[in-house]
Amino acid sequence: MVNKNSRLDLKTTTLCSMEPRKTGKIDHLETKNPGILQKLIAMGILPGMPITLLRRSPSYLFEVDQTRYAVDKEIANHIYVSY
Amino acid sequence: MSTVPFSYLFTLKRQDRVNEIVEHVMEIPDRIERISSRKAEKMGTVQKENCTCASREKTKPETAINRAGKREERKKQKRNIEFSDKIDSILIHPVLGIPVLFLVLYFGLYLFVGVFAAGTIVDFLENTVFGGYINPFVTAKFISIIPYPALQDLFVGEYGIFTQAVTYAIALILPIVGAFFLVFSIIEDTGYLPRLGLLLDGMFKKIGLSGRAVIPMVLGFGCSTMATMVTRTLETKRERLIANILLALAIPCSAQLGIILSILSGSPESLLIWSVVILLEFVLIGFLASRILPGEAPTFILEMPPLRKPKLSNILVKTYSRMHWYFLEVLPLFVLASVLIWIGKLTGLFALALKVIEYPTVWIGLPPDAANVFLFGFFRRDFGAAGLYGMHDSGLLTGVQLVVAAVTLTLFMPCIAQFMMTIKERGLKIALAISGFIFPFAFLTGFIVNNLLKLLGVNL
Repeated sequence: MVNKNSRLDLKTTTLCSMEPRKTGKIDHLETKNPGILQKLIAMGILPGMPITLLRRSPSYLFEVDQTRYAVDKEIANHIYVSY
Repeated sequence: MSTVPFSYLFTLKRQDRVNEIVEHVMEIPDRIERISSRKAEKMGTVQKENCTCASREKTKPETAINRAGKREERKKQKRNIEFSDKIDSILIHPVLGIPVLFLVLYFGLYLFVGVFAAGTIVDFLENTVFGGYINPFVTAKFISIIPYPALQDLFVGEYGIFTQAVTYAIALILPIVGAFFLVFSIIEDTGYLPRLGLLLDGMFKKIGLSGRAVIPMVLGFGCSTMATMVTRTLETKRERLIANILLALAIPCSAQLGIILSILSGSPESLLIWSVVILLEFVLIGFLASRILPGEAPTFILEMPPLRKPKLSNILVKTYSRMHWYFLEVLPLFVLASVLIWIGKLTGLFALALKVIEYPTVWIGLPPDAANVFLFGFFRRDFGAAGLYGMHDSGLLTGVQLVVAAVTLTLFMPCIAQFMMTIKERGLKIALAISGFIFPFAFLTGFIVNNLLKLLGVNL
């Protein structure tokens, strides 16, 4: 429902500054750090996929494609989300 | 941009194309909406009414059509999911998660592994079965067959291949490690470990490790040798090195823990001082190592499996196959240790080493006799600690001296098997460097603790 309402005015932020318990779409990935990018791609976290942020503390916990991932702030800053 | 290998960019571009095509067809799946509405429900936010209404409207016509049994099932499933979500949110709660961790450590580690396996079972196996029946029998047979004292010493002497290596491996290591693997398999199968990693990631970052390092650290309380082996799972060389140092230095293995707990249990203050010193050491050295060692800070990414009820057959198979594998990996090391001690005794190197260790032993305020506690403790933990226990019983050590000895023994090199595993995993140079750091540092800490307690006039 979040997406339907806000399709017109989508915000793009990093996963860090996304509000918890909201569903959005991965807009793009930060490509500055190849190591992190490789990890994200290898785990199937790709642009265009629906993403739900579940928790921000103690670390970031999110769900992509029925799988939950825990990441630290550093990696969460590499994921840009639009919602 | 230019630093990124072409293949990643290609993957991203391809994904972009796929998204363009899929965009028109694909909606965000209904499932996610339901999940988020359920989440919102729990949150109790203003959205609450909206969402629950929407989801109720959605599910109502559906369930009306379905048969009653199916509805029940679905309800049950939903309740199960909600229940596991609830437990999940306690386990990884920044505040509530900590007492849960202590409960798990207390029941799983302390009571089952420490008291039951390392105490009761080891006592029975080592003293009654091996010490009382098997070893005297084998020793007598061996001596009657082979008349050379040097060879007798190698196989059935005090530190012989059979009397030490095999006995130690079967009677001491196997039950402790088996019990620990059992607990570990249960914890692992429930999916608690990744949650622990998530919980402790922030704290572990301060000491240069990521949440992933929780697994070798928890294992270290079982057996440092095994935990050193498990540092393989860490991502960077730097992390593996820091974890290795901390395991060798500050994490006491179950054999050590059991004995220290029994020696210090007489006075809670001593136990408190011991644990505070060890904890401080762990944090301090980790912090310094993360500052000093070159390399990038670790990053943390971990898949979070759902919480599950562990299955008995899985646990048993896992425990068995791990014990099997571990036993084959560790037994040769024990045999090698026996051979080394044999050579050391034969050439007189042992007596020399004892003389050398006597100096720092006196320096930290212990009687010179305590030197063999450290030397033998390195080869055979229970022997070293038993010596400490004996000195304690005969009243040779004061309360302060006991705490100092316990602290130093914990920080001291864990055991020869762990040392050899470090050589195997990190290479001889780093292994020697780690020992070269730990050896003086353990005594330095003992020295500081001793003088601090004296200065403060603490009487234990």
